[in-house]
Amino acid sequence: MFQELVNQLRDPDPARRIHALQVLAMLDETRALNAIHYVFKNDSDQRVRQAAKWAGNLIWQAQQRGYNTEKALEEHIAGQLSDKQREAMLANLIIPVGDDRSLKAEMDSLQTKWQHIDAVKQGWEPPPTPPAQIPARTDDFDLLDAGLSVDQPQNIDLDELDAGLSDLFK
Amino acid sequence: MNPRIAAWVSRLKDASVTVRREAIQELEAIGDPEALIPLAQVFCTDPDPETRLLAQKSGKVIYFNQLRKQQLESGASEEERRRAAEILAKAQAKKLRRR
Repeated sequence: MFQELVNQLRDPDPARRIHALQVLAMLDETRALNAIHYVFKNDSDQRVRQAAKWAGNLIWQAQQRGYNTEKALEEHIAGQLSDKQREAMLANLIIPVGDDRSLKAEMDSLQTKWQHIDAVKQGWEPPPTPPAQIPARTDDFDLLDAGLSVDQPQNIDLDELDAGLSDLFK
Repeated sequence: MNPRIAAWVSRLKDASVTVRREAIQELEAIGDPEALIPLAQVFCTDPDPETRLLAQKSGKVIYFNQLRKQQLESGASEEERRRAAEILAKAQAKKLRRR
């Protein structure tokens, strides 16, 4: 944008060069002072030179008051979004530490609910898992194959166990 | 001239100061950089000093927004990167204090 305006100072049409000078003066574009000075010294058209003198004066006065384009641009951007707002925005973007576990638990719970809903929708309820059928007399390897610990008193005949223990401690 | 803003540009020459000022503010809201030349003409020639100042203010807003847009398209500057890093570090430190 700035470069376009400076380039327009070299336009073959004097009216366009004057327009560029008017815009640069309105914007107090301090970075254009050298280019405007060059136009004032060298332009072939007297009206353009006059416009350059006027624009150069205005911008120079602004510069004397402590104005410069870079600073003004920075202030303009800062005015749009303050540091505190930026900080708050960034803080909100980061997932709060410590909430990850509760988030995972919530997601797991939701997933279970969705699976259940899907099953109901299809008119099918997941059947309860049948208990492993363990024969009355079995060895540890059979129990392990059935996925149970030998400690689990499932389907165990207590009389038989009692008899077995009595035999053992005879 | 962009036909999108022609209606507002023609109102910049209205006899009523109120209409001219409204047109300036609306051109600022539209943000088309093609409005800079008509605004500069108001800045140079409008008989009302307040309207000239308003045109300057709106012209600067359009110009700065345009510069900003170009900056964003060409990537963040070194200064912006440094400031972003500072802000991020502050936010992380604040979060750690909350834990």
